[in-house]
Amino acid sequence: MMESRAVHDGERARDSPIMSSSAPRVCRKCGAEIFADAPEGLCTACLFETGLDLPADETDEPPNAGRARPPGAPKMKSGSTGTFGDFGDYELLEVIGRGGQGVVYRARQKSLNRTVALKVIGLGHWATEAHLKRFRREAEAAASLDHSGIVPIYEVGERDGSCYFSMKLVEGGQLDEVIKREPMPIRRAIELIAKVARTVHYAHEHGILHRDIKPGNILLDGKGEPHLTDFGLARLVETESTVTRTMEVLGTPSYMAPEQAVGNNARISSATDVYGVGAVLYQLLTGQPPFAGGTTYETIKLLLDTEPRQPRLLNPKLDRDLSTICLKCLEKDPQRRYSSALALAEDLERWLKHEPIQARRTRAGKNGCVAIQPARYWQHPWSRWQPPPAGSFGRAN
Amino acid sequence: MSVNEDHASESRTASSSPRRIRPEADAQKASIAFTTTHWSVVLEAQGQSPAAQEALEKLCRTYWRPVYGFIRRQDIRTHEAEDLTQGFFSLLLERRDFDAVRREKGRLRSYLLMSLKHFLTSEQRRAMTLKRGKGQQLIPLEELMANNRVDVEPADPLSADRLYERRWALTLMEQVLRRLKDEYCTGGNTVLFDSLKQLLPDELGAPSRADIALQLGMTDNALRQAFHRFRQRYQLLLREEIGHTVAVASDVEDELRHLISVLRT
Repeated sequence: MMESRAVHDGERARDSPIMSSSAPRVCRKCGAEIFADAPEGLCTACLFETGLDLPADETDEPPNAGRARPPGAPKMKSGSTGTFGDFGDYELLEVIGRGGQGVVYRARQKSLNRTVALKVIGLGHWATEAHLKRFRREAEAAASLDHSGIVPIYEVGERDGSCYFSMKLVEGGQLDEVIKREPMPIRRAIELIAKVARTVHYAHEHGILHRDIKPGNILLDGKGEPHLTDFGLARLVETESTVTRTMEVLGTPSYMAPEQAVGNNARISSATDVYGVGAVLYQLLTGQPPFAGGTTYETIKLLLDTEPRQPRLLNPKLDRDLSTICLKCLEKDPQRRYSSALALAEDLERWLKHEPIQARRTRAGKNGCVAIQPARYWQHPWSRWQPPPAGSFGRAN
Repeated sequence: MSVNEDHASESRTASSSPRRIRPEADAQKASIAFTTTHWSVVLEAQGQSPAAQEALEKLCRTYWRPVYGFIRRQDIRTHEAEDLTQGFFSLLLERRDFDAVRREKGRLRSYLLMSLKHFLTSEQRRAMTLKRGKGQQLIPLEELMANNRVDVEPADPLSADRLYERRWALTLMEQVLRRLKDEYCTGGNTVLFDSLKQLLPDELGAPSRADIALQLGMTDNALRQAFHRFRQRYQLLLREEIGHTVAVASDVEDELRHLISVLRT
């Protein structure tokens, strides 16, 4: 799925096709790095993607039309040329998303004559039988989840060296595309993230971690309700890995928890998903992910070595409590995050009801970054921060 | 499938000194000559046909940079890496290892990488190849070294394999755009190429078609048609270029997707 870093800077995006950073450039459309020696200075990944469109007999829609196109209604390929053909029981109709993990098609399941979303994951050279088994196990478990906030999986399988699964087609589009077009009001963002957190908690209760929560994996239906997709998929590409390995297979780690970034699989837990939900919250509130370097390597370095900037510095409309909630999710130490996604959901709901939140604030350090602080007293949402009395300790969530 | 006749006749003159490769610019002009030859077909035919051998040499010359990058990533010094690169291709072109083609499912990309790993692990072969590589001019290393491109790569945190694949993708795209540009330049349409290429990746923030039409003094409709042709030609060349590196045409789509995933991970 494509990710975008352009959220609140539409004008800048028009002026410059590329997010300039200190070193490598990043394509604003797909997030891929544009290398210093990229042919003609263009995004090579997007150029290749253009090659996926068959030489058509049409294409006379304006070049900018794709950008204004609603996320749920991507451009059709020229159907008469049979662009995608069949994939087992599925007739591939059009590509509706692409990313490092694979391609998502709108497809027709021939045996049941229904339209579905079909995700096909090319396994490449790093796939092993162990990976496949693990993917199968995880995907089957994810398919057992029955929740209104989770995109139901219909079928899981392997074919022609690829894993695939079919799922319900959600027409509204991905959250990252929605916010790219228009920033989301704060209250609406909190309502949405509270629902996502409750959904994640439901999955945790059933023993399933998501492992890759990011805006691209949250789909919005016609009513704007969030639906999580790709449960457990990141498991497919995890190994007993190093940072390098993680970088190779997982792509942009802007929403990834530190324990994932260093490949410490033993420490991956429900707190990892809490981090992911918090990172999405941060994105919605500030217009940018907690950490975004010019390259994957730089992003991971920032993630591991620095603290996120105070959300309030990026969006002055935010109150302290929202900053506190957000940053509690993004603690480096999983034990310092919310103890569960439910606890996060409840704190967000407290904020919505103007009730005191339970998270404790951390103190801003240099450059508005956050310094880890052990604990502080419970605080009324409208009061100013007060240091705790000597010898006191706040309670853990 | 066979190498076309024009190319065959052209290569007969070159076959008198098979290891001497024409300069890169000439090679570009001649690239159209092997537009329909899949590399494995060329490889299997090289024993009988000088033209096929020439075509294979062109492929090697085009795709030397991923190989060089991979060798450099093994902590091998620049000069030694250059000699190894030259020697590796020299050895490869003489060896004609047909079985490896089948083992690697017909991808030139995979075949070269596998062969490279194999010979780098063999000290004896490596020493022999290193010796053989000295003074060879099979691959025009100096041209790209002069552009200071290749040695940028070792600072990158990617593994050697990923670096190889990434470099492969970039090289392939470079070939495609160069061919497209040559075609437009030959027709005196350099400015048109420079303008239309910006629309190709559909990047956010690219100039609008109206802006470009205004800039070029064209009507919107004329520009739309021009871009339509431009895009079609680009897609054709891209698939053709990928087609050179796979065994069968049906692999082009998969290879295309693979290269996209390489660049986005």
